[in-house]
Amino acid sequence: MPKHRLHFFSLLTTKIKLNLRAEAGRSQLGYAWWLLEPLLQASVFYVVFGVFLARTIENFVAFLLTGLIPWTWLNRSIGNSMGSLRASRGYLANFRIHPMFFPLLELGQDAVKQLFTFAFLVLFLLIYGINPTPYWMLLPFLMLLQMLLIIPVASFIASIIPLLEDLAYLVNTLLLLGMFASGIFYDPNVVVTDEWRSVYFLNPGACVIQAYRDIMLYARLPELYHIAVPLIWALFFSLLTLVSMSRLRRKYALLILA
Amino acid sequence: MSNTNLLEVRNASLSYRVRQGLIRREVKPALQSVTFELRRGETLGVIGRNGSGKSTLLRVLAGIYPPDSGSITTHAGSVALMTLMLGFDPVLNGRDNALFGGMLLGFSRSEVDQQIEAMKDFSGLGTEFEKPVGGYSSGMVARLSFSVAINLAPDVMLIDEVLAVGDESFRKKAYAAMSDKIVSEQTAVFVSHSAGEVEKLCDRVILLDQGRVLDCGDPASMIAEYRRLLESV
Repeated sequence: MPKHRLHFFSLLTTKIKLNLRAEAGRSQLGYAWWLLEPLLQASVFYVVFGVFLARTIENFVAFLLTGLIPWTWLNRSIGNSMGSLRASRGYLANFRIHPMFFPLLELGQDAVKQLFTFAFLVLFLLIYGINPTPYWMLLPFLMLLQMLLIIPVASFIASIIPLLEDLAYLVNTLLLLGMFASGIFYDPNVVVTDEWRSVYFLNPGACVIQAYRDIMLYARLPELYHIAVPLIWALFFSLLTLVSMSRLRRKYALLILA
Repeated sequence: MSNTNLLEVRNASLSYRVRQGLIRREVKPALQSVTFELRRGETLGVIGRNGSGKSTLLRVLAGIYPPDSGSITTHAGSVALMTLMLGFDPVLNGRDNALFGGMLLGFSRSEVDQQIEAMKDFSGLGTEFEKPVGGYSSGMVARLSFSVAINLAPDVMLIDEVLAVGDESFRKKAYAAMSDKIVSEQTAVFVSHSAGEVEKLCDRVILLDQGRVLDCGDPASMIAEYRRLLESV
């Protein structure tokens, strides 16, 4: 690997570690929050959907969390990295540093915390009474698939926001749409009609969530379609990011100051 | 080309485009056809009025801003801008910021680690070095960033008003350290408003005005020309 690339990764991992440590140091319970936060969220959903409301889907809280946790990861990563270039104008104006550093820093931090959230999910499912199956071993691969989707999508959005600030509003609306169109709160295999299902599953978020449920709840392999769609989106956004970065890379420092 | 030149700048021009509306952008020329070279071991001063393009020139030399036209040829392994605004992160402590700041200047983690105690000592921050930078005064931030910069030596140091640092006693210490470094064959480009510092530290001086190189020569005559320029407006 060329020296400058090694330096980039060393800089990135160093800053991820420093930031996570500083973040944990700010609260009294520190690192414990990475497990406590999803636990509290799950408790809220358990009380609302598991106790108060009539359950329409078997094991509804488990169903909900296997959708919500991956969705929150995607949502948070895009949201956190979106404004990262503008927020880093001080660095961009004073150092020779690849602009991708700043979205990747946000994505890296989110990914580390997400490891804890998924560990929590596994614990929760066990306590909730879902029987573990060998398919659970595929969880790291699905997380990797989701990471492969998040990095290019979030990086591309972060790379064009400095050119088109107004896009931030549109992205937020699209994320809201994505939340309702990814089958977090309902089972798309039941709710969406047969003729529309393959169109519905062009949404990579819906595919990833379906795949998580297949391995964690339904003890089956994900469908090839649900793996291929996120990969194709990932490839498409990687190309877009490459194009936007190769054209804009050295201009961000000037663009953002203007 | 001779390798006694560490940097060669040929007809470098750069304009800022300031957004005025949806489409309209005002174009402000910041550098216009700047040409000069930086020789190994010399300290080149850059003087000029506010807005003459001094800081822009340093950023172009550091590779942060690409010139719109012209070229910058580098024969140095590392060129780094030493600024007082070392992009510190307020939530990280002084030590972590020194580490990250040093790495941002292009040094490896182990290179910075080796110097970190020296940085701590030089800064005189004591136990504050282990506390979040968010709680520092501006003088303390300046001490920290100067200490990081002075303890790391890129082949070419680009120095932006670094000597206006902290209180009187730290300023003396900073000045002494900077003079030592410059005498010891460090190649540097030095931007300053202080005629006294420029005269003492620099071997050669460029006078910039409205983004153009007005003249280039020995410090005393350039400072005299700069003073005439100031009086003429």
